[in-house]
Amino acid sequence: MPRTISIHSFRGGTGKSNTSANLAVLLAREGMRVGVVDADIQSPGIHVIFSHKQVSGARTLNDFLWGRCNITDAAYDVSEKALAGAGNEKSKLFLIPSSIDSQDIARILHEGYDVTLLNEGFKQLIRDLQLDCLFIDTHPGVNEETLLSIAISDLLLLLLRPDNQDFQGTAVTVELARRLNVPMLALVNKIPPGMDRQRLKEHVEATYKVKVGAMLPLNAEIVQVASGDLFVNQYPEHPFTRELKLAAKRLMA
Amino acid sequence: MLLGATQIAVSLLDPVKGHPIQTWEFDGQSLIRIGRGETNDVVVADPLVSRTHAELISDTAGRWRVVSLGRNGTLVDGEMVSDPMPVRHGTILQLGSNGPWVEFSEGRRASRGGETVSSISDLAMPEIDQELLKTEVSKIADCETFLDIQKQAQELRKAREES
Repeated sequence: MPRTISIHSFRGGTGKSNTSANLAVLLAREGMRVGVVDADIQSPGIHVIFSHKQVSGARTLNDFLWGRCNITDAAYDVSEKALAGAGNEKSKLFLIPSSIDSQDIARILHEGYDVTLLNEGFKQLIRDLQLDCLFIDTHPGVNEETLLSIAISDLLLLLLRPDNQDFQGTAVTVELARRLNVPMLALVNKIPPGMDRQRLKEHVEATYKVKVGAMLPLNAEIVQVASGDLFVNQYPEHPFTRELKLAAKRLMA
Repeated sequence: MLLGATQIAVSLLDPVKGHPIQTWEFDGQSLIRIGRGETNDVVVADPLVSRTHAELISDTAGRWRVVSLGRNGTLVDGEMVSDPMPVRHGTILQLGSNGPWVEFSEGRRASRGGETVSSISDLAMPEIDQELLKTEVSKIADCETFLDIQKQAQELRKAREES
């Protein structure tokens, strides 16, 4: 299976962090050692879904990028809470959060960061934590750092909603990723009830020439659990969970 | 009771939340017909379901298989069922790619009341403005930064493969 997987959406609000976090949990449950890097340094958020509290002074991805620590010092084992008893003895889930301190965010925005170092960090994480797979939650849009994160991945997961704006923006990402020789898989999220799923799937695949890994329904329940618990744990029978399991299976194949 | 046939249940699942909304239980039956027609064992009144849509058949060893008969097909794990396919406890069958879901279970399963299956409307598919796409892509891909990224990515990937 692909080692380094970037997750990207052209616009915000597609449910990228939520989908990434839950997908990572599903893979870990299958006995994988999974890492999740919050590379959305400008607007971090995935730590909230894992109920990870950032205490003052605790290491983050920012500290690594500024040469203050090893990247593994910024990796937190969130397996216990995130897996909630599921999985097997091999299952592990690590989170590498980025700083929510506004001064830290401002500094990154102003200075940018060294992508070569970030690439080095990914390598170290995979090696030292013996990861089967590393998820990189990227910042929406196509800035330089995001493009580079995508470019060094083995797979790009594209998250999009079935509306015109997302469709147009995603087409740009697809075109750029293709020029960077990165394989892609699309996840369609927030599909409204009543939309023809089969037609939509064929439409997405024909438009982008990219396979669809999951067709995720618009999900009212996810709003209620958004900050505090993982959806796949709370709603194991939900159609959203079932579809996401298909994507996980596809990634492991 | 036929040899090998066991106690099983088929549940129609809520299309939004996924819990069972109606359950049919069978004891010692080795053929179960699913479809829209009134004569089926499991009657699913949905326009996307064929009159006779699928059959669950048990062999003498008590192993169950599904055979798809409907016009819209039957899916398991997102894949169309072509040949008779084994089902086990917890297998979810979708009757047509947009159709309702039913779950196969061994033993009995309690049902909870709920809503009925929703129908499919003809919502428009999102579209792309190809001209705009071309302009936007070339605005990014033709500038020096992108060419640098391409080059840098190649080197970084190579460095990773070597390690």
